[in-house]
Amino acid sequence: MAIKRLTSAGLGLVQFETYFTIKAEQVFRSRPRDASPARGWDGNLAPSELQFGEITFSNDICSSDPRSRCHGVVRYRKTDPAGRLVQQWMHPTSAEPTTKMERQGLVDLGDPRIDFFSARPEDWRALPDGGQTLCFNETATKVNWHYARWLFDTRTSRNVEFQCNDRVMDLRDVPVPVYDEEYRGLANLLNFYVAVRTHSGVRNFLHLDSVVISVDW
Amino acid sequence: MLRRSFTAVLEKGSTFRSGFETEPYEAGWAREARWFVRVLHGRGRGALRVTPEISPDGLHWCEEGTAPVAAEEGELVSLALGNFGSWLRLRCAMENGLREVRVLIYLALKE
Repeated sequence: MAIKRLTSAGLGLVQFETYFTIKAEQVFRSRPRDASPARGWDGNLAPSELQFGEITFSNDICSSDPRSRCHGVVRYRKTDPAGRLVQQWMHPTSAEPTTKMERQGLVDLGDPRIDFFSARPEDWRALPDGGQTLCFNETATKVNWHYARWLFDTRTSRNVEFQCNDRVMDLRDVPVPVYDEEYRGLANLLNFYVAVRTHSGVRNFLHLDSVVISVDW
Repeated sequence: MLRRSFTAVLEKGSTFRSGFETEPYEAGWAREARWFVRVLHGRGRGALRVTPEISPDGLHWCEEGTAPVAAEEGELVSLALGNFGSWLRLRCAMENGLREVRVLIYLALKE
């Protein structure tokens, strides 16, 4: 996971743009912790695609008064933990576990299996029009870059839209989980997270070639 | 110009019950590297013996040549490497009856 921690000079629309690419590490089939069965390679589809889990884009927003905090989150799930192709953009239905929630005994952040972005692994839903096949080059040594653009509104604590390549998803009606309590130390918080997660013993990589953040204030 | 440096924490209090290798780590930009291994907890007598390995591609490995070091419970040990190419890992073996070990492993890299 990588995080850029900022604060905001105002409220309004914020746009996050990047070119990204994803890849599962090249491995030999004999690697003992490789849980995903690599199917035969026919020179077309890449079996290593089945060894890629998911990537997640998130923000962390807190207004100045009152201290209302939330995370807007968009995830691309390439495969599920059983190694089946999903290829779906998703959003969480519960708020990201925080250190404060751990101190209250509500979550165990020390559990390495925990989903960083939701309280429970099942708390994810498909985004409308969120099914998308991303080019995943059939040769293990090649990558292809994708364009992503994510627009959200810090004034309303809502997502607006998410674009990946030629697909634009309207997020205006997708709820964003908001914390029940104030976070007093986080006035004007504006953080950005990007994360990659494997479901097997094969390492997964997410690369970003620059990020542009634009605002309308 | 400030020299670039980075410390990768490759194992964060992980528990192992048999020998293991750390994940392949690409460090071609670094002129020098130093491993730190801290054994937080051990079950059974004996030590964790760590041997540095190098690779041209992150797939095929050979020993780097620096003598292995052994760490017992509570100890912090270190190994310095230079002129290592691009890929690094540590091979870790449980010795003399060590049955379980909880470790922190750091790789400190410097331009």
